[in-house]
Amino acid sequence: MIITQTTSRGPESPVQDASYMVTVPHVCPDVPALRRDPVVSSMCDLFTRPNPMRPDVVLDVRAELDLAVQMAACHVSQFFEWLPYHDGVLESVPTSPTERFEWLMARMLARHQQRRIHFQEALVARKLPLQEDLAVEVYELSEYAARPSSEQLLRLFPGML
Amino acid sequence: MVGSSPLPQWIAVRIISVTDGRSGHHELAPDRLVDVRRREARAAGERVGAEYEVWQFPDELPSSQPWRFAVQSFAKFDSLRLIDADTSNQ
Repeated sequence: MIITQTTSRGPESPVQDASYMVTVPHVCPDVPALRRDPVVSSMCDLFTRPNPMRPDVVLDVRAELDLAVQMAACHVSQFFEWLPYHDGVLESVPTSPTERFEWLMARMLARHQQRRIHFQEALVARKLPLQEDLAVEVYELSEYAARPSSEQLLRLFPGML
Repeated sequence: MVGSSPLPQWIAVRIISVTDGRSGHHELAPDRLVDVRRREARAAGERVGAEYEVWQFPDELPSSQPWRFAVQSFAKFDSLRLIDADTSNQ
């Protein structure tokens, strides 16, 4: 399965193109063609135009949030330098690793709050509690790649709601 | 915050950054930034036992693309303060 960042250009993105072309024998003769398309899904994005993202798969990731923030914290030049500079909050970045982790966690929780608002209907339909600590990942399945069955989906996204 | 890979052994995860991230920083020069971003990516991947590939495509806008002309044009507008989103430094 391939999980890709969403772009508003959708099907023109290299991942979308490649997900079909990987089954065509001679477009890239140095690798064998696959007999079937892979499953392709796109990551959470809150855009609304031209079409809002369709929440095909929802995961409750509260238990994984700490690890996700630890991974993000490895990208020092992004999360503690460039992005806060871009957002005009560079002065608020602490220096000690512990404080930085807490600072980044607060930023991530704010993003998850936006997700809770944006996908409220889908979360309620899945009986998720819309409380402050709820963190979710949301995926849309590409229509240009394999269409997995419900059983296959559950195997690819363990715990999906 | 310590420990080995949290992924089960039968799952292989590869994280790919299609571009090399050379453009997005207010201080670091592009060639240096590429190295920094590669190191950071490797560390993030190691945190979960995933391979992290960074492809060599630069994220600087190619001169043949209309986006680059648009950015050049917008930047001039901003310097002439025709886009007046922030008045605090006038």
